[in-house]
Amino acid sequence: MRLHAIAAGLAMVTAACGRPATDDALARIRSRGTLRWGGDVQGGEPYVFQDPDGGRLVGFEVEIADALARRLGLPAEFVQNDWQTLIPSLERGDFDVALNGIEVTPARRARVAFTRPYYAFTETLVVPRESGAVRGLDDLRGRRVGTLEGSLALDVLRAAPGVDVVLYEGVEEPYLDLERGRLAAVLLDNIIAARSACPDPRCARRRRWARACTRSRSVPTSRPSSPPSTARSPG
Amino acid sequence: MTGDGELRGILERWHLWDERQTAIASASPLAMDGGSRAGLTLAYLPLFLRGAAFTIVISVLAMTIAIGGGLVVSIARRYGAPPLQAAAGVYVEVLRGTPVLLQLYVLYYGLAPVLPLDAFTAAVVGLGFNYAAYESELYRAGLEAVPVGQTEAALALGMSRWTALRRIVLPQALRVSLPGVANDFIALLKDSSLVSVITVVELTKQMTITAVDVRGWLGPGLLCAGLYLVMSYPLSRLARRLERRLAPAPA
Repeated sequence: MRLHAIAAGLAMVTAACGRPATDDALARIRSRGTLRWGGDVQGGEPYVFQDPDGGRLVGFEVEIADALARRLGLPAEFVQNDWQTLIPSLERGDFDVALNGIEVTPARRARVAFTRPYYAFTETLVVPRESGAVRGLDDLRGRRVGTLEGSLALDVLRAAPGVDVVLYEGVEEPYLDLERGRLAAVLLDNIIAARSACPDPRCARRRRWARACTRSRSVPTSRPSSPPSTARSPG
Repeated sequence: MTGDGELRGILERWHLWDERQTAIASASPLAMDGGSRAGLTLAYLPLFLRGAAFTIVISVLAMTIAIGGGLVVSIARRYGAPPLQAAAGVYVEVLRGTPVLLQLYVLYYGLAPVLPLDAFTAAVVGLGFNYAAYESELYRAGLEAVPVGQTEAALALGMSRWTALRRIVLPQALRVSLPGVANDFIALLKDSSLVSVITVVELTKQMTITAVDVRGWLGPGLLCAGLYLVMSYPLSRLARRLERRLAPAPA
């Protein structure tokens, strides 16, 4: 079973010259005294988001960044950056590491070095529950399918013939439009699908999504690169 | 972190651990693989032209709403009954005093339960209503520039208030406002790039999409800027010509 993996992109200041940059980058980080990592708070739970009590940043990627920095003996410093432009900003040197659900793709590998992956995921297609005939992307020819600009899901959708791709800049909006009937389906990483379309019952804060959940279900995508997802809507 | 179980601990704490995650234990870091850098080619030009066409269509439709709506608002504000005047005043202040980006979000996502507009309609209506507030202020300046004597003379000749407004005051007021309206059209042309937040792919959005595909911002950025200039320069010339032609003749 082939899985897509999220990994952190490692800064390479001399990437354009093709010189090995890892040692330079480490020396630079140490001399500055902080590990600066880039992410987009708008990506939301559970990646990086503001704790409603006090506005502190929390999320599993915050903890990974802290753990990385601790191993270097340095504090971690978060730098807010739009998700779509994390790689260009990394190349500019705005931060040392981009660590925010960045999927390993051939296009990105040509630009930055990746750390060992820290999360394996699948793409999940979410459709309204009443559209029972939809079994995969092949059933969505000529239909509007939403996803995030610059995501791996977009690459998958572009390879699917006849699908009318609708691009969003945030992860909540496509599911809102799905709920309103403006989209036939949404294709995104399974974490996002699970949290945005169908809340984890353990996460009480997201109870307002319960209504959307009773109307949507996830279907496995039929492309071989996207194996059947284990994410399921309640009901 | 993978070896000592700290990563697993973090993922478990966030309820993200599943059997798939065992696969990453054997994965290794990935160096840059060089790869071929796709370039900006002529093949992208039709996409950009299509984006530019969308920009023009959205801008023209929105400006049509703004010109008509602005006229209604400015007349309501100057000649309407007191409640109507107040309402028009609130309209202008709210739409001018809040970001158009926010208005587009509210119109498309916030009002969706009661007003299910498609993205294109929401873009045109959102921009049109926002610019109507600005246009109404331009007309107001125009209306104020017409001497009171003109209205008084028209009424003395037996015209009704409405006829006097329509045939005497408005033609003079609009002449004063026209260069400002042309300038606002240029501003609207560029503000139309904001509608990409509600999924409309116009010229600027096409640029960011292409920039990701060809992995460079300079080429797509220059092409996009060039197309905007091609669209706005004639308008800019038009605005200047109107200003010259409509300037008060030297005494």
